[in-house]
Amino acid sequence: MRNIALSLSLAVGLVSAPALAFPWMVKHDYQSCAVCHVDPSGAGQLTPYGRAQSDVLLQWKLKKPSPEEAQEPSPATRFLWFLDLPEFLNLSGNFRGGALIPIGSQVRPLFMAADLYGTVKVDRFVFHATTGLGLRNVGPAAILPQCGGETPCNAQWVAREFWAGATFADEAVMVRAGRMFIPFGLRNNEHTMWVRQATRTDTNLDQQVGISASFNGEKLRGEVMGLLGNYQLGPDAYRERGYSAFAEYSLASKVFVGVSSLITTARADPLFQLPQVRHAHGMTFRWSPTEPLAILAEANFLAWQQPGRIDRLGFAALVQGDYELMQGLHLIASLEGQHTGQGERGPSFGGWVSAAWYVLPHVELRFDTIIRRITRQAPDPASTGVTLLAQLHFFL
Amino acid sequence: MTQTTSLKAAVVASLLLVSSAFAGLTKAGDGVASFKGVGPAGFKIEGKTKSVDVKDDGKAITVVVSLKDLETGISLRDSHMREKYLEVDKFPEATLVVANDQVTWPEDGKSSEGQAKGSFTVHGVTKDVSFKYKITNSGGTYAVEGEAPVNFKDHGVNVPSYMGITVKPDITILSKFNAKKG
Repeated sequence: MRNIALSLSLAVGLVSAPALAFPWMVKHDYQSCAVCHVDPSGAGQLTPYGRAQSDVLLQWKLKKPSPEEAQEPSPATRFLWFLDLPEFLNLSGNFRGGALIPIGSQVRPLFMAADLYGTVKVDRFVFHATTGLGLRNVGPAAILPQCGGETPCNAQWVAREFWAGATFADEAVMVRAGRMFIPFGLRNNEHTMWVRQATRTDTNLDQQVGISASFNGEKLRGEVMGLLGNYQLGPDAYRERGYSAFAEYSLASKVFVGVSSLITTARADPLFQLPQVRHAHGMTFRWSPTEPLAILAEANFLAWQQPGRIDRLGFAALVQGDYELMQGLHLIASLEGQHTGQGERGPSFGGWVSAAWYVLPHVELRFDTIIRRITRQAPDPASTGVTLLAQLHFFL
Repeated sequence: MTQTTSLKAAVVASLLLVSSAFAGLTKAGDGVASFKGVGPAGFKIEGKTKSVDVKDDGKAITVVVSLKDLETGISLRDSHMREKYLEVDKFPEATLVVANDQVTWPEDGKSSEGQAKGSFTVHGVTKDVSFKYKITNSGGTYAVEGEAPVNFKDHGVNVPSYMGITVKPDITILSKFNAKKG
C-alpha cells in the first residue's frame, strides 16, 4: 500500500481541476442540484437536463433572449458535441488545461484533468463511475502507479467517484454507497479555496468511500454520509472515518441558509503521526438579490484533537460575489481567510478576482488572479504571493 | 316629525347599504398572479405575471390573468410553457370567477379569511375550484390574497416534460391584488 500521506497534507491545490459546480445557480432559483447533476448534492457530471441548461443558462449570449427568441439547446450540448445516447446511458468528460503564472516565477503549464464520466440509470437504480489521467497532485484520487513521497511520478490513473445508488420518493431521496464527494459546505467551483482545503472537502481530490442518504425537497435539501475512508490512500492508519453532513433551507425565493458538520477520526495524522479527531462545523449562505448577482458565503469552525497535545482551533471562511455581466460572462470576486491552529501569528487572508467566460457550448475560458497573504509561526515572516491562473475547460 | 326624520334616515341608510353591497370592485395598484409547480429530485418552477385585472358585475368577481406575460425566469422555459402547453395564442387568459357571497368583505381595519368556491378557467377548460383567501381592509382598500390547488391535466394541459424532468400536474395558483369598492 502506498504511503502518500505526506503528499495529502502538502498538496498544493492550485493546479487541480475544478469540478463543474455552480452554486451561483441560486440566481435562477435552482436550489436542488440533483436536477442538473448526477450527484444529488451537486458538482461533477451533468444530467441530460443539466447539459441542456448549460446551453440555455450558461453559454455566452450577447443578451438574454426573450421567450420569442429562445432557442432549443444546441445539438452541440450532446456527448462529444454531436452524439445522441440512449436514455439510460449518460457519458461525458472533463478536460482542463492551462497555465499557472506565479508573479516573479516561471510560467508553469498545467494539465489539470482528463476524466471520463459514465452513468447508467435503470429505473430507480443509478450506477456512476469516473476514470481518468492525472498529472501531479492527484494523490488522494489516484489508483496507480504507486508513488508519492520519495517515489515521484507524473502520470497516474485517477478514479474520483464510483458509486451505486437508488432513488425513492420521486427521486427526492437517494441512498448511495461507494466513493463520492463529501457532503459539506458550498460545492464551489474554486475547489482549492481554503474553505475546501482546510475542511478536506475539495470536490476534486477529497472523495471518500462511504454510505450516504440525500434529500432534495421543495425548501430543504441535505445529505448525510458515513465516511469509511479513502481506500486509495494508505496505510489504513491515515484513513479518516466518521461522518459528514449538510442541510440547506430556503428562507425565501433565492435565499438559502445551510449548516454543515464533519467529525472524523484517524489513527495517525500526516504531520505528527498521532491519532487525531478532526472537526469542521459551519454555515453557508446563498442569496441572489438581483438576477445577475449571487452572493455566496461559508464560515467554518475547525478543531483538531490529539492525545497529549493542546487542541488546535481554527477557521476557514469565504465570501464570494458572482456577477453575470452578460449571459455566459461571469465576474467573480472572492475574499477568504483561514487559521489552521498551528501556531500561526494570525489568520491568513486571500482575495480572488476571476472571470469565467462560457464561450462555446461546453467550453469555458477562465482567468483567476489570486492574492494570498500567508501567516506563519514565529519567527517565520508572513508572505504575500500573487498568482495568475489561466484555464481552458472542455466538459464533454 | 322626529319619527318622519328617523324613517327617512333609515331609508337613506338602507339605500346606502344596498348600493354599497352592489358597488363594483375595481383593482387599485399592482397585482400579481403566480403558479408553483414541483418535479422530481426537488425540482421546482414558479411562474409570475403582473398582468392581473379584476372585474365585478355586482354578482360575481372575476380575476383575469393575462398568460402572455407569464414568466418563469428562463426564456426557453417561458417559450415552451406559452406555446406548447398553455397555447396562449388560443387561450390568452386564465380567469377565476367567484360569487360575491362566497367571500366576506371585512370592515375598515379588519381582516377576513376562509375557504371559498369559484370557477377557474385556463386553456379553455372551466372547472370548479376551492380556494383559500385572506382580505384585509385598510381605509377602504382591500388587500386580497388567494391560493388554490389546480391539476392542469383537468384543464387539458399536457404534462410538461423536458430532458427527463417531468412537472407534476398538481400545482398551486396564487394571486394578490389591492381593490376598492365603488
